[in-house]
Amino acid sequence: MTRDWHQKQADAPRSDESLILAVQEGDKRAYDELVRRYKVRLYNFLLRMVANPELAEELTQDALVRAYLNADKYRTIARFSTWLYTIAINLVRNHARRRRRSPVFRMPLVGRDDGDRREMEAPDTSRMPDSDLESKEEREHIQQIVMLIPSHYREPFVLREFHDLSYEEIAAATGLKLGTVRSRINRARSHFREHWVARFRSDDAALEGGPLR
Amino acid sequence: MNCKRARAAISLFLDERLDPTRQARLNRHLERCPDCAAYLRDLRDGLAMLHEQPEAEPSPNFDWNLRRKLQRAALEREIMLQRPARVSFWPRFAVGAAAALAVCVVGVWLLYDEGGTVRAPLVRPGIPAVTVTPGDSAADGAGFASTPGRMPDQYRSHGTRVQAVDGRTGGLISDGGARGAVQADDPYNAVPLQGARADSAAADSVTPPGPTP
Repeated sequence: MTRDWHQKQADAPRSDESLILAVQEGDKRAYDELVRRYKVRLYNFLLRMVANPELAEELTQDALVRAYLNADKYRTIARFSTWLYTIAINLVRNHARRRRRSPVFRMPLVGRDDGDRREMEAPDTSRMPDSDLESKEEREHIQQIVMLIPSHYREPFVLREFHDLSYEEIAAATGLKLGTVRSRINRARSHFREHWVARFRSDDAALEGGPLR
Repeated sequence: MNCKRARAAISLFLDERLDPTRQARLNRHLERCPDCAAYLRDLRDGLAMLHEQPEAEPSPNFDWNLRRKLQRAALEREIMLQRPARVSFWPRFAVGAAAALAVCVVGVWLLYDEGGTVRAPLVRPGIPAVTVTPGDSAADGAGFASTPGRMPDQYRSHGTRVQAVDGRTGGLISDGGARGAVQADDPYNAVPLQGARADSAAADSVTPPGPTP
């Protein structure tokens, strides 16, 4: 009975937190396991934040390198995933700051029919899985709509909608107050709904109930 | 409940964070507000489409590039640890400023004496320095400026009171009131010509120059 229990314990997947504590002790296999668990999740988060696969991949690698180098700074008061997202968010913010100082080519996109023009980077969806052309187009449109949400609203929105983080975890990862997280998610959803309706709802009547500012 | 509050409540409702009292109020609002009801319907559909989006995969080179970055980061960290601790900017600035100030003070002290006269820096032992007293021009009553500078041309051929000063002690050797011309452009290196000899022989004999014939 006891032997079975020990066997079960040995077979049970280790928690992220126990793995990062093992990394602090110099366990490189534990780090490899964390990379295996988080690389796709982190990559998708960053892809939705920057809409550029090469850049998203680079930032994902940078976040994982930072997590390794600063593993000793991790404290068990936070979940490992929250801590990792905090690192990734800081990298995105630093990148946005650098880009503001040295702007890159930007492609203007028509946001709505009323002449509202917004700017965003052309999303490169070449690496996205494409089952057929229609679904690929839909994915591109969704990605474009997400990118039309202002970045300070987009951060908590993506963490909530794609990564299922709780409001408290988002507050911890972004450094925002809980009330700010709540209102930013609400505003981001309002933006998302506005652009989603404009793109996917042929029924113009749906536009009448536009979001409140 | 107005529409603005209703839409904030809708966001919380979608996250199951709405308390029963507010939910009842929201339900009542939705029953009589078609715009907010459409808002909720669109948001649900749009977010459902968002949640259906498949996750993108990073490139096949991801792990290899990550390992390369880790190796490079580990190497850089090792180099940083071997490098001696760098003194921060302000202590270095303070020492530099103090040194510059000391040089300035010593320089000014060497160039000026208490009377405000310019002392020629002929400090070689045994060779008298020559001091030009301001306001004592014998020719037209105009004197040299007490600050050092280029000697105006009109004074070159006119007589000027020349003092002989011991280069070692700084004491006055002679003040003959002689009318001698000063040849040098620079009052620092003024050398008396006619009758105001300032060579070593004159210094040794301490003979005031005689009047110009």
